[in-house]
Amino acid sequence: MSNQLEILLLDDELIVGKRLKPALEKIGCCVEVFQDPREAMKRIGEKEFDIVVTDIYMEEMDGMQVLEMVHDQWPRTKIIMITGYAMISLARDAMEQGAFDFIAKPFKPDDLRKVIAKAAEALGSPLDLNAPVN
Amino acid sequence: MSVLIFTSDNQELEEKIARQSAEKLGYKTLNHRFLDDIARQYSLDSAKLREAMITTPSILKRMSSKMWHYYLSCVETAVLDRLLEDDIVCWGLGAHLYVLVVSHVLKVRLVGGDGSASMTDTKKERQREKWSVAAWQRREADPRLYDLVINLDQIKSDEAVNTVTSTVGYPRFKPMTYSRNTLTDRALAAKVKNALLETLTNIHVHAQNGTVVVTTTSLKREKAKKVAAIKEIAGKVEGMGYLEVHWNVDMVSEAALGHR
Amino acid sequence: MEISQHNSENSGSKNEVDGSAKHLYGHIADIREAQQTLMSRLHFSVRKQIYLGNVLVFLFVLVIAVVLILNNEKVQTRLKFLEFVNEFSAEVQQARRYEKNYFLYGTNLSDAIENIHLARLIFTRELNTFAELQDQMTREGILNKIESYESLLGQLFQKQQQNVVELHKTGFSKGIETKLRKYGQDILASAESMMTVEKRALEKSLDQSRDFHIYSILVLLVILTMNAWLLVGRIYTTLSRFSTYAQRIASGDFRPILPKRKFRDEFTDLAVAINEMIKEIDTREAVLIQTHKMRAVGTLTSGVAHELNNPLNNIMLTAHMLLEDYQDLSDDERKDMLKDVTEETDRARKIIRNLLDFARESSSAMESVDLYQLLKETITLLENQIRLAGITVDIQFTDDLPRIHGDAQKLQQVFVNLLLNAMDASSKGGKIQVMGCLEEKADAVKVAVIDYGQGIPRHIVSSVFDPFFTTKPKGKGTGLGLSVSQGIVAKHGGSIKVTSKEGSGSSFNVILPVVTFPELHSFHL
Repeated sequence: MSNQLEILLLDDELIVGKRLKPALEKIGCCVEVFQDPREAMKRIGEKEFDIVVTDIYMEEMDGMQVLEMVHDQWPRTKIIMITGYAMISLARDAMEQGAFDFIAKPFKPDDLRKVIAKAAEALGSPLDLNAPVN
Repeated sequence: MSVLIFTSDNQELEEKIARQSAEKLGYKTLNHRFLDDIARQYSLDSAKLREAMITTPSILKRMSSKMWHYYLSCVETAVLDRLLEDDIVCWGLGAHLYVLVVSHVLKVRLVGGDGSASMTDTKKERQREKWSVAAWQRREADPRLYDLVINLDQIKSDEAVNTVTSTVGYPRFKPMTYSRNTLTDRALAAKVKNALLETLTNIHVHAQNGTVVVTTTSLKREKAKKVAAIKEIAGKVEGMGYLEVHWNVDMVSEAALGHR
Repeated sequence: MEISQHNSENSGSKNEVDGSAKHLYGHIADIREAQQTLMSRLHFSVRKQIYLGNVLVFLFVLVIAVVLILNNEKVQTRLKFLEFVNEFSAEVQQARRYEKNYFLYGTNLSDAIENIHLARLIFTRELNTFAELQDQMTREGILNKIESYESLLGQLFQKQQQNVVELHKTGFSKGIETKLRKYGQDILASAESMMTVEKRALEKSLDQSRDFHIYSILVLLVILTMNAWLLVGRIYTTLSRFSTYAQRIASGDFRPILPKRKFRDEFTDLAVAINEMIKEIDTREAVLIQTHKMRAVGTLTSGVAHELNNPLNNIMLTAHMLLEDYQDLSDDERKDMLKDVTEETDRARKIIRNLLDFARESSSAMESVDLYQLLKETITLLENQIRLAGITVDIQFTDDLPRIHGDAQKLQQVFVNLLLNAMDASSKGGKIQVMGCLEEKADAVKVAVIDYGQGIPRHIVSSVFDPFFTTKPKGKGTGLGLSVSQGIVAKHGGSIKVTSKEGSGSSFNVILPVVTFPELHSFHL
């Protein structure tokens, strides 16, 4: 499928990837899940994703660094930050550095889907949220 | 895209700069004229509502503390509800005191603008501080409440408009899921509080992700009654997720009762 | 009063359960007991001692006065007796002179009779008064002789009445004269010897009186000295005890003054007042420590609250997906999802459990503490803060470090505090080292919390332990952390020392004595 959204999901929590992958695939996205930020960065170096979803606080690497690097390398890529450590200053910094959106944990799968749909719209390839879910 | 909140002791300049900013940004405006709508919506006395916005109940003999809190809560609820719409410039409604930690809200405090501060100004300032602390437990003049404080004695109003409009254009003030959720939670909390304040007192409400936590105090013997009443009223509020009632003993009243 | 009792229930309850263990805090039950025992003793006040001392001295002086007065009386009596003897012998001598005249010239016989009669009268008159001075025999002997002398003179007088011419020259007269002479001499000799005896007795009395004066002054001096010595001793020694005790209180030893003496006095009232004060200070210190702990808890809570979001998010995502895809999922998949939910719930519980354990208002209990274990737990408690701050904490303890005797909860509060301070001082990506080793003399364990942050400027190093001293911006620090920490460590008989170099970091060394809890001597009164 040519209009399938390519998504990279990075979170050091195993369960996040485990649950969100099928959730996003249901709305017609192609999802690659990573737990290790370095591996994710390696993959990002190889391929331009439409959307990158990343956690902020991770053992190996800071999500803000991921944001900066992705933004530098692929300006078109929409980056969505998800974090359990949501704070107003952090959120504003992320937006300033070019994040597409910022979501505080805990969130519902639908919350992310809505944001993904919004990003898809911004990318010019809108998703139909309702059709695949039902 | 974002929300701009102005506050100043100089209402003329405030109105002028806020209007110019709104015009320049193409944002809607929300100001003290909205008070009439609020009065109509909640069937309040419009004149009393305007008075409640500037005076504390101790001065206003005709208005009880309970009523005063309820009136202010009506304003808070209605304003927060409108602010959810985005792209609004808001002033003169005390929003800077109850809209906190929302990343897409730019709060601007305008100071000075009318030469050096006179005696009446200090008195007025004290009065405003008293009001803001009584209403929302915050000192209006505290610069930490704001993202931007502009001294109009040093910066012309056009320049202030430029500064504000360009600042609000920074990506960091763009709305995001997190900040929208925060504001929605604030609005929900205000709505629940408003519903409760209609009949009850000593209510504090906090909401997160639709989960509402009501904290209240009362005498020990009134605990069950009050908690039941809160559950009854709050349960009916639209958009309500999970409700939790935290109760603390009202030490002061309990002590007063004990000494009788 | 109600409040303090309420508090005492909180902090004192454990003491009653476990009376044998030593406690650093919450002496309220001890104090209450001490107060009761102190007050139930027999009352013997300093005032009473002063009164009693004075009364004793007064009584002694009174006795001296009475004895002296009595002695005086005796001397007076003797003087009077001497006078009487003198008078008596004068009369007798006069009588003898007349008698002599009579025998020479035949005149004055009646005068002699008169005189001897007077002498007899004097003698018999004073007989009873001086009964105690002369023995019966002498008195009767003298009296007989006087009577004989008088009767002889009477015989002469009768003869004269019969108009015997030149009677005094008759043989009859001569016979009488010889007898008279003998009696007269005897009487005079008796009077003489009486006088001599009495003079000697008088001298003796006077001597006794003088000696008594000297001795009584000496004894009085001794009594007064004893009185003063007892009084001063009692007041001075007690006061000096109180001053050492005040120093001890200042150093943070809040054990009450215990009753030891068998009586109570003004100092007991003072001790009771001090115990009352200690109770207040103790309660306040406990409140201060708890308040400070709650501040630390507040700091930790924000980290924990954020950390909780991860398991919550996992639960939420899993639950929502389970709800959404329930029909399409296999049994195994559903089970796997539910397993995730339970595991994540457990994780959430673990995250808050440490904090709740720490936050719980602790009863103070002394126990054997493994500092390595305690530090590891403390670091786990601070994990979220450490992660948020982007700091690594390295823990190194030498092997076989002896356990120490202490209050684990309070010590943890100290280390939480030191670690939070170290984290504040460190910049992102920094490192904190926690090192534990035995002190040189092997009598204490040293735990060093070392950061490589900005260090403490030299001019404020000495004041970091002062209460309310803070370098943090207003509203961020109370300035009580190190002060409270030092208080806690001092109660364990240890100390906190700081070494710091501006620009390259600080090291806070907590030194705690090994096993043997410093056995402070109780204070008694």
